Amino acid sequence: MTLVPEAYVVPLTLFSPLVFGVLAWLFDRDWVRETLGVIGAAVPLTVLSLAYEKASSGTISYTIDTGVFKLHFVLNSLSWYFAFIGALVGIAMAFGLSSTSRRGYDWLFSLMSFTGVMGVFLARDFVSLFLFWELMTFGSFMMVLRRNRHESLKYFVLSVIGAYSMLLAIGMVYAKTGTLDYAMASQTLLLLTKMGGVSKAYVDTIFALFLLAFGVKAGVVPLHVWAPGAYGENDQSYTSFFSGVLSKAGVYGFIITLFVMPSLYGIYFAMGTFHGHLTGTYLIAWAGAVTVVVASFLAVLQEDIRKLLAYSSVGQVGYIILALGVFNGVAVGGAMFHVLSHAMFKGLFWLISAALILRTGKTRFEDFGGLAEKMPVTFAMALIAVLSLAGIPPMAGFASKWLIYEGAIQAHMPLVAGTIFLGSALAFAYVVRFLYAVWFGQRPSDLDDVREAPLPLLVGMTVLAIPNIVFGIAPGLAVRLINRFFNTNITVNSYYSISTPTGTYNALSVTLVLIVGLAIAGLVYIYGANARKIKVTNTYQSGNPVTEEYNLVIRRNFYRPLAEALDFWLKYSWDRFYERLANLSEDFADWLREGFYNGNVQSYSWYLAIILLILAIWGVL
Amino acid sequence: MNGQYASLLVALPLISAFFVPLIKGLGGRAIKYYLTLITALQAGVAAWVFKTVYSTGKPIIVMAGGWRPPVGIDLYIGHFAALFVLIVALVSFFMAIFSFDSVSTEPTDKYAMLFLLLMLGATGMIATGDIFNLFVFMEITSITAYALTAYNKTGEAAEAAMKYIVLGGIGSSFFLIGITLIYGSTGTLNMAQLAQLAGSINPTVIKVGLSLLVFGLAVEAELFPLNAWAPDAYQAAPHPVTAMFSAFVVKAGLYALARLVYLFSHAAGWDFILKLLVIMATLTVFAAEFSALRQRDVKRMIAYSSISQVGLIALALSVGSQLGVQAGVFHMINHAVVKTLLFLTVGYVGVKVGGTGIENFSGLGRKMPLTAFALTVGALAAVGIPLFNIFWSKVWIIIASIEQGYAWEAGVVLAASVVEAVYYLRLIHTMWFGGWDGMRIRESLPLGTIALFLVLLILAIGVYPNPFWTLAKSAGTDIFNVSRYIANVPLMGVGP
Repeated sequence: MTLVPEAYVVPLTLFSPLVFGVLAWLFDRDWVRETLGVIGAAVPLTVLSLAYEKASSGTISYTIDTGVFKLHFVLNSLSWYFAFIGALVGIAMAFGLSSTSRRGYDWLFSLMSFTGVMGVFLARDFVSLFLFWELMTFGSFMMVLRRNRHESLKYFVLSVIGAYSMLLAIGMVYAKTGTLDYAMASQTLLLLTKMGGVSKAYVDTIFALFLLAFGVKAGVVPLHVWAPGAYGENDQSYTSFFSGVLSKAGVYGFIITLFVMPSLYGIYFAMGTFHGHLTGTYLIAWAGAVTVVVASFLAVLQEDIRKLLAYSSVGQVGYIILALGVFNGVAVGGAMFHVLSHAMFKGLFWLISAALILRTGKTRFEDFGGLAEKMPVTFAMALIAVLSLAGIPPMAGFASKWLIYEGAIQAHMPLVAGTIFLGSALAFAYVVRFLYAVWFGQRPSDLDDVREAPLPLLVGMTVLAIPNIVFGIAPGLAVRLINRFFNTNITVNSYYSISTPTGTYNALSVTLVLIVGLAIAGLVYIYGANARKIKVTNTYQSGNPVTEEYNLVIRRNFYRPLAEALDFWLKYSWDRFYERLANLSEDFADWLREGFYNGNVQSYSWYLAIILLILAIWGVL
Repeated sequence: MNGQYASLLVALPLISAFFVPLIKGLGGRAIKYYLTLITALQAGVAAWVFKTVYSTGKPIIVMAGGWRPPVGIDLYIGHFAALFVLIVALVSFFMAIFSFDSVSTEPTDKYAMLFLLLMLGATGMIATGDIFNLFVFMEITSITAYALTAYNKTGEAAEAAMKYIVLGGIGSSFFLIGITLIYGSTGTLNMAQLAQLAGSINPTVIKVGLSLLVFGLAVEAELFPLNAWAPDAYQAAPHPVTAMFSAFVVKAGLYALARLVYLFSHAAGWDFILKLLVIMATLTVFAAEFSALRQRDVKRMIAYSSISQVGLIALALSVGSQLGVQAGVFHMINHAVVKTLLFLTVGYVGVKVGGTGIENFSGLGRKMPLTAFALTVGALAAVGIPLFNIFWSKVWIIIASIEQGYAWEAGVVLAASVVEAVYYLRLIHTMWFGGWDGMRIRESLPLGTIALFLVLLILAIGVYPNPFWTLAKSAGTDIFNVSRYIANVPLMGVGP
């Protein structure tokens, strides 16, 4: 703690990425730019690590007085947890960018969104939240704009709709309470609701607007349509941060509305119950559940590696939203844990896709194959990411999903729990494809001279791979962190073992059993199995001749039967719905302009006459 | 120095305008130097007035001929007027420099004369303390504006000016009738005295009078649906003049509107006027933003954007709270800075590349990097991205209108702002990532300096808004706090 004085902790965390980003943009030379960028990303991580003791036992506050508004920031155990996850993915992103980007532009805007997201996590009043929220959105938007105008506009329009809903909600809170501080505003609002100074509809509107705002960033269906394009059409190293951390800002917003502002919490009870569940949270749980199912199905059907990961990311954040909606200690604890594990494994996934695209220049599954030999380290990382995402012990992804599942069962929501199960099965289906189509099988001849990913990218992957294993084997570590700021009702027996009221998960013993099992299987494989070595080209089709028009290899159209089965549902697309809406409003704009500003001075004079008439009528009455 | 020297603000441009024919023989360039000199002098005077008003905290009351109001006509240079007179002078100065590059149509001596008179008219509208004097200055402003709109001598320019004349003419005639009604009922034209008497006038007379005044000014203030002349006029006028229209001519109208509305805040039916203005302002924002969406001409697009921002200011001014007026004034300052920058850069592109169609902006980032950069900053500021100046005023306007119970209106305005984001971002994308024909254009040093100055100002206000917010607060209070306004004017016989 002596290394960084307390007063500097928050400003260093908040502003060093932005400042170094600007510097990297100004001194746009090889090495200089990368060094500056990595330093900018490393400072928050270092500072946050050093501030751990202080933040977990107390709080560090910081205020900026702009004169117009006072901006409050607080580092406590909750904001530390989120900020630390962000900083961890941030440094991995910086290493990744060192390999994949040669532009000061990318560094400037990726680090700008880094600053933005840190501000969102640390903010303790609405103006700071909104300010940094916009900064974050803007930085990420500029990253997409450079690559694809259409996708960037889609992303920006939805984000702006979200941001303005937030602004409206903030204005409504301020109008009634006269304060912008979370705690103060929340208390005053609660008091006013009790005394009848604020109508229920008013609070409901605030609540709905906040959910809309945060739902866009978290990618809740049907507000998710920006995600595949924005995640895909981007520098993939940056996407690790975009999908790993920026989506968590949306989740964090849900946490603010649910737990930090108890007055909004209070309205759940006011909204009544539905089949024994609080209506408000039940809605959130189902929004999450729908997101999980829809996004996972779509992920299964993708032929492009980036699209697959993007939909998978939307689906995984759906789990978190679902768990928050389940609204009991275990589930919320699981949600917080999943924030950590999703950031780690999805960040890792995107860095892997960055490496693949950097080395091969290809993005579609049909162009990949057999890369495990060519990129062995990357393959090892991919294996960790796949196991974690599919929820296979002993990875972090299993522990968090298990908690969410337990929570849903405890809350007596069997259908919601069922969607978790379905989502897991689908996740398994798409990662198997990722695993097999990219790494195994026959290698296309144009990939014969592919090399291992460059060192900085591998460093970035390692940074993210280690937590996947560590928090997987020692889930108690993460739960202990979460218990500091939220009473999860999960007991930490030891680092390796956690207990909920209904069950215990001992990661160490599971790991040991798994290792022993694998060892036995390996021995059986080597000595016992009646194995015959064949070439990869020697495939057989169970007696069916393969025709070109129905060619379902794992690298192409593998899940086409599923797509055919879902034909009816796939006809409806939110994406097309929004496109149509956008076209409609453009047509409306034309109609309005041509109708109103029609260039005819006579009709203009009529407008004057109409206003005069209105005034005259009023004058008479 | 005696405060009465502040009358130079009106006298200097007026006299200088009449001297233009004398130096006509020296050629077009000399006239432009003369114009620059006069506007610089005006800026100096305005800066002195600004400093005096803000250091003493007292308004300067200039009494024409030494007659005390209400007998004599007075200029009331309070916190608002001092600030805006300075903005008017500075913007005029910048645009005088811009005129070197952008105005080549003869006769430049007429241009210079009209330019000075336009500046004079706006200054007078902001500074005057007499309602008939306000009408006179308004007429000076609008007549010079008609002439300047037609200055480019193209068919479109003539047509645009014609529309402007018709609508502006109707507006000002009704404004005059309004003044007559009120004068007939109170026997005074002094604004301070009118404010004193406002409560005691016959309710029907004040209702009709006020609504006619509002109607007349709403044409100048570009409120929907009385703003139909504006896009054409903005597009047809010479580039510097467009910037002046947007930066201060419309602001003078808005100010006069707000001033009169708040002066009569005790009048019967006042709430209705406010409600009507709120509705008109909201529709202004909505209609203008949507009209800009598919606009292929960038200058016209920014004209629509300017109209929508003006609607936002009008909304803030008419929600009827002190916070609202302050936020509106803050937005006026920010909008003046941003739109000057935008019209300056767009106009400069129009001059150098040969048109303001969107296709001329393709690849501008490499063709004219400085201009493109300034234009980008201006566009981002207009969208209301944090760390740019408009963000702060927009937030306050939204908060102020919700506070007064206009949550729906705030919602509509925000929805329209989404549209604004779309068209500005399309422009930015075209500029930086559009195709490039490989030509690099040399950018002029003085204009580059002005643009950079404005960019830095935008960023400075965006990062640290406090000093400007303080300015806006005192200027806004000047409009809102009518009793202080009355107390400040030494009314002969009737005053305290």
